[in-house]
Amino acid sequence: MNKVPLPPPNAEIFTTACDYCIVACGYKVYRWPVGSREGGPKAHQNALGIDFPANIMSGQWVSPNKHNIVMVNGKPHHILIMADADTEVVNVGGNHSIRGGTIAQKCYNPKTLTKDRLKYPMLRVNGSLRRISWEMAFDIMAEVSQHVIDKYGKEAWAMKMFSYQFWENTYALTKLALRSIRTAAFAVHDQPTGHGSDTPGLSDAGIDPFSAAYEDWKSADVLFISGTDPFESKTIIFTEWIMKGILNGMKVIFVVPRKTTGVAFGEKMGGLWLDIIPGTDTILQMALARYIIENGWEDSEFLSKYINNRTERDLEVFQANGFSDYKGWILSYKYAELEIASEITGLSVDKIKQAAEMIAKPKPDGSRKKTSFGIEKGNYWSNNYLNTASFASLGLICGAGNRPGQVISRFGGHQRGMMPGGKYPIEDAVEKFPGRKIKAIDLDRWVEAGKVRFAWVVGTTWLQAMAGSQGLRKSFEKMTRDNPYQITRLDKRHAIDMLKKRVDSQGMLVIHQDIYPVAPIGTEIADIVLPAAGWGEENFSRANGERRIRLYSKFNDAPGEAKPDWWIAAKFAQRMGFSGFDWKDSNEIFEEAAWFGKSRRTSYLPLVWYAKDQGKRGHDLLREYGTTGIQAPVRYEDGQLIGTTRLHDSTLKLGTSYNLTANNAKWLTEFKTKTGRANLLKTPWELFSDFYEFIKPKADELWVTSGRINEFWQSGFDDQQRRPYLKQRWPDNFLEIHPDDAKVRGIESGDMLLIESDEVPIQVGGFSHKDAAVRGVVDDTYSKEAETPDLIMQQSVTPQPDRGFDEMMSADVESDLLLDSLSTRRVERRESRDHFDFSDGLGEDSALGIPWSDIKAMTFTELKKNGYIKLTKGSFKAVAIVTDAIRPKVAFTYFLIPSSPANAVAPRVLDPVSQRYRYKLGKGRVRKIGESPYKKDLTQMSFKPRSII
Amino acid sequence: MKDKICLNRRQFLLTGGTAIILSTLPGIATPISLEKKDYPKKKIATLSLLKQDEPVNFQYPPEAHPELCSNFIVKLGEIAGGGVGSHQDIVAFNYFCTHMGGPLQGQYKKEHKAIGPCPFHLTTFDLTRHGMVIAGHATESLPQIVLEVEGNDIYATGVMGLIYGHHTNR
Repeated sequence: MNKVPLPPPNAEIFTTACDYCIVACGYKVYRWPVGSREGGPKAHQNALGIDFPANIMSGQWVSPNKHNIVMVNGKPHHILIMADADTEVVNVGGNHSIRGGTIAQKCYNPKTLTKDRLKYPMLRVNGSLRRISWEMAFDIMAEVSQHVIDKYGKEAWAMKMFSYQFWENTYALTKLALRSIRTAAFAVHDQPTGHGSDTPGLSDAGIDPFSAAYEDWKSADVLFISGTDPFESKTIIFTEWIMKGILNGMKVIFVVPRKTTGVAFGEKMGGLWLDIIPGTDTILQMALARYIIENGWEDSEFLSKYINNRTERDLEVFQANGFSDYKGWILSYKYAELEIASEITGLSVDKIKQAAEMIAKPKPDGSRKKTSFGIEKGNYWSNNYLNTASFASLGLICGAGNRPGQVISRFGGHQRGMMPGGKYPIEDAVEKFPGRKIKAIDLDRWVEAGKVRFAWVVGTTWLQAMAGSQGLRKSFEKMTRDNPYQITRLDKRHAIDMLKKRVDSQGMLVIHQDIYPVAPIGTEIADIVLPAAGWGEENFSRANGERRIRLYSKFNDAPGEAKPDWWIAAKFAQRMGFSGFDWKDSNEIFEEAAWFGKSRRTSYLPLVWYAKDQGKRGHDLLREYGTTGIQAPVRYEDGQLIGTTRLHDSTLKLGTSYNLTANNAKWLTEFKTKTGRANLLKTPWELFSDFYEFIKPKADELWVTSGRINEFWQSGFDDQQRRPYLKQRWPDNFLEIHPDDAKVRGIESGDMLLIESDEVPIQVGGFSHKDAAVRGVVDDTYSKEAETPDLIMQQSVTPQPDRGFDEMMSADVESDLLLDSLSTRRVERRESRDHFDFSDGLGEDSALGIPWSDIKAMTFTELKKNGYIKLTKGSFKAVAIVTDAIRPKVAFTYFLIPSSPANAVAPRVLDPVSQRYRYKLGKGRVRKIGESPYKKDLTQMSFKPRSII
Repeated sequence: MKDKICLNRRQFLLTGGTAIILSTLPGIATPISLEKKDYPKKKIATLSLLKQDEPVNFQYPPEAHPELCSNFIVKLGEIAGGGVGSHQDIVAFNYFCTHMGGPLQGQYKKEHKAIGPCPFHLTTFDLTRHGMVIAGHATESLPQIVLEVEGNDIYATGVMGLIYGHHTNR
């Protein structure tokens, strides 16, 4: 493009936030009709109010990728989408990432690669998708749904959906699935279940994983970052906050096996790179804690004031009886010894000592450093419970968690877009291991066991996004396209009859609802495909990683007959005869959801209440807050609406609150436990070591870990697949491999590689005793006798009576995706067990109080012994990038290129405590299968290291 | 204001840009289209005086914005997209980061044939591949100066891409 049109002074301006990473930078959309007078280069001639060329660091450069042409009420309009140069929060002064900087190219424009947006509902007839009406789609879906629910029960009706794509949508979809249908066959895009915290160790410690404010990431003296380089995946947290802290003297420790730009910069500026062997963070975190305690560097004052000093349950495996108990445990625990830790983590003793000194050794004058702790998926998606619990303990002994610049928090992945409209019906989740409380259905295994007859997939690839993905795909194919009953005529009655026959013959109807055709779930498997409207095509709301809520304005038309997800859910629900879905617009949902989400960390009820008081709509009041938004929980104190900078903030002075605010006031200033004090958690490595020994690369195998890169987002549907500039940068998946590992395999940068594993462990079967038809059922009497722990010594195992009903009802917490925030909490129906039902302020999925005997049944050793583990094969292709920025014996790839998903070689065995996948622990053999076309092409793909500093 | 000189001068804003479809190998789905803008030809360097990995600064387009239109030419010692000379290894680029305009002077990295990191937000650019972002935030590649060699003289003849800050190169 030789010219980017400038917005005239009278251009319309909309505020929004970026659609991509957790940070949600503030943006402005300038819009004016095509054919009308354009703006000029002088300040008074354009809506930006600046003279061109734009000044350095002005945040006002209208680069070509910021412009597009969209339709508004059927008429073409110019748009410029610019990071808000005026904002004083998040992306101060108009800073942006490459993702957000090119977000204008996300908008539908049939002259660009967005031309294949889904535009009409479609039905698969003779294998091809044909256009149908919304009415026909809903008629078919409703009649088949009713048939499935009547005949096979509500758990045969499944929903798999994004957890993040705006509150109005997630509220409507979950209200349908969880409150109206009440199915337990429900899961979100990145988990096999729809229940529980991503960082359960933090939750059990009493730490909300999104407690920090972005200013905390620059105001510490030392920052300990585990499992991510924020530069690569939540860019502006790094460039606007962490980087400024570093330039101000803050030192950063990065614990990641791969060096990228942020790590290289941190290291250059006096920080430390701990290039850890994947999966060993628990060991490192325990060794650091032990060395700190051995030297007396713990924050005694904090520990005496803010740590629970008694264990509340005798059966406890994890919770320490105060600091002295924790200290005694870790000082005598062999896996916390420096030499052993060094061997397991691959980090030198000196490096571990150096890190411990940096984070905890008092300054020469005796004063303490301010240290903060940030965590992400490289840590918690490899050894979920133990990693997050030992991370929390390490942070707590250093005095972090409840003060400015001294926080323990996630950085985040997706924006916080889940607003539950129903509670997960845990009491109906039939899956149940011996002795253990009922747990949420693992939807992947549920499908593979043939239990799902109707699956509605909203905004996710499902198959490639899950671990051990190739087996799951086969199950889907078997139950859909390989079933004998297929639709052969574009006829509603015929379609319904065929689909009923299909579900009656072990088959399944799959609905895929998305903005693009997604392979294979939409293009090959689904019989009905529904077109969704997305960002910029409807007024939506959502919070970012510091709980900042903004209105995401509608500024252009959705293509064809595409509709927002909330509308689709509502119309279907009405067709099913459910009440409570007669919303006229997204604002009505925003206002309704405020009441149901009032105890969540993202609660905004006072805003809706205040808007009503002022005669305004909720969305309109939020719009007035522009790109600044307001940080949740929103409070109404001393006669005004105020945001909450951070949670658990011991320095926060609360004003006189209106009662709408009061129900979460306690954890505004205290930790999120019943006592308000945090729990120190013990983390016995033996819970994981059996699996770790199995999954470790053998012989010529390498670790094949995965993660994000800066230049694109998610499965790349907007950018890597459809944005020319980014498609040029990343035309294909890649594998970073160390020069030593490349050399012995004859691999050079640009070679095409095959990564394969014959040993991808898959967890199968294992549902309830109530469901004996499912193979692999364990005898339910298995753990009637409490077993003495054989791995963890010195744990007392004594029965404790059930807690009372009142105590259970008093629990009122919110967890990330813990869909329990409705005011009516149910008492779980439980089998009679002689261990107690935990029910304090920790949430239903807390691991506290589960006895060792129950946890043991879920360890890899026991699963294997009882026939729950089978081995499958997996493989994917990628282009080699040879670089010493990755640790030897470790290879790194993008986590989800749909055509070549790394999860094919990731184990599908769940964490025994928290039921989370271990996506980061893939392994495989790597070999060259040829040269990629990019090896010698000088226009596409760069093979340079991402650590140039 | 100096800022506007290069935009207001018609000699900078020649009529009609030329789209160059850069050659791609068979089988690659998306040919890369970069817009080349021709400007008056200007001698910017002498072939025999260029030393490998030693960037030489020059201003281009002529009479343009004195700050933002400053560039460098460098002999990389390996083949590069748009490279001239017998080894196709001589390339030239604008000095200003296409993220927020950070100055890249002094940031040439000979071991990587790259420039960066930008002092503002650490973006790096691959000089062997038309100034493509290696890692970072720029929404466009670094503008590449189109070169021609005549005997021992190297000329700049045009620019591919918009130089930071500008909304037009017409």
